[in-house]
Amino acid sequence: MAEDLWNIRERKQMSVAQLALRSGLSQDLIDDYEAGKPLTLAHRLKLAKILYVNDYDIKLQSAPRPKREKPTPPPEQSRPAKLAKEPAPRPMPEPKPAPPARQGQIDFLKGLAQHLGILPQQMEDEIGKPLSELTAPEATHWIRTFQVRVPPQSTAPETKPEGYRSKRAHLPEGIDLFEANYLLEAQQAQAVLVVKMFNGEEFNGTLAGFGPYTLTLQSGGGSEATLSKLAIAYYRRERSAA
Amino acid sequence: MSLSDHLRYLRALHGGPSNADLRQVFSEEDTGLYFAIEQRYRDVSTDDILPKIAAYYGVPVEELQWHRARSRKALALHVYTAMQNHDIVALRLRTGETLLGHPVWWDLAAIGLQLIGEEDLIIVQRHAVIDWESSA
Repeated sequence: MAEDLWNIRERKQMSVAQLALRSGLSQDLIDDYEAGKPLTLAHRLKLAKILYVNDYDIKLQSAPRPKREKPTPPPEQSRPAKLAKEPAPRPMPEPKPAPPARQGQIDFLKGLAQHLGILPQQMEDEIGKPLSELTAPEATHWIRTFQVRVPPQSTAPETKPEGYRSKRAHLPEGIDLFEANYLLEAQQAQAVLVVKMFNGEEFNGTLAGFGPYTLTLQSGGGSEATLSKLAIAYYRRERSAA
Repeated sequence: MSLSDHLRYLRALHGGPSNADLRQVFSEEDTGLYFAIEQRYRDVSTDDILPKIAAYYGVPVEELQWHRARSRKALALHVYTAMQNHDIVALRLRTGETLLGHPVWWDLAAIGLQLIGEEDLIIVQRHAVIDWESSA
């Protein structure tokens, strides 16, 4: 079941800034996506990797986060007449002091310093005070300031070894790379496969084709049988006669 | 075999009821959870839904609990650990067979197992593995 981007991000206890830094997308763009802008498939894949979920777990278009409900005033006509009068102006509340920066913000700034190749001391010099003395809004401001200085990922095509295929970060294994390679080799070698089904039945034949969910075997007589992988227990190459 | 795979198996054994059929049996919330259990590789089931599914398929709840404790990720970890330690694994299959060998590779769908004393690999579908043990 796909979920809203903001919902997954909050469940993973990740801030927008952290998600932005790790994914290489801007905070504004992530804010837009969380507010309902349709995700591009490439960005959804990128965000899924960072959030350690499948790409299809993220809704292509997130519903905006529900706002905290404010008490709704009663309708005008139901109010008593005396309340309908202009209310007396309230005294302005004393401005509250800004809360100190959260540890996560400070750590994030330190991480940015590392990304930028500068020492935290140099960062503090530019800010004008120690990181530990920042308020939360100041930290937010400086995170944004430093974040834009992080060089974008190189757009030059990376040189990758021949046969390289990227893996999804959230899985410790390739999707079905090993099995696909095995089947491809067997197909090219026209090897006879022996397939054992759940019910004990066996099928023999050369591999005419395969997909993520099926194998198609061609028997010696030319007839084909397509087998659902869900019903297959195992298969192997036919043992060569010694 | 994970609960996810076992539910697919039970569904097939019971004539392959469609998603629409299941929606008529379970509440909307339970249907959503049922589909999630089938689709996810990690366990997302709850204690509440297992008796309902067990009643529908006419199997003991304990059977579903047993499979719940054997997620695909647990099998992946077991095979991975065995590969790292060069251990022999014993894979008990739905067919009733137990295969003994060294895992050479594994991916989302299958395990390449080199049986003891044999050169060629045998490709075991992960959803066919009921239970597993290691020589370690």
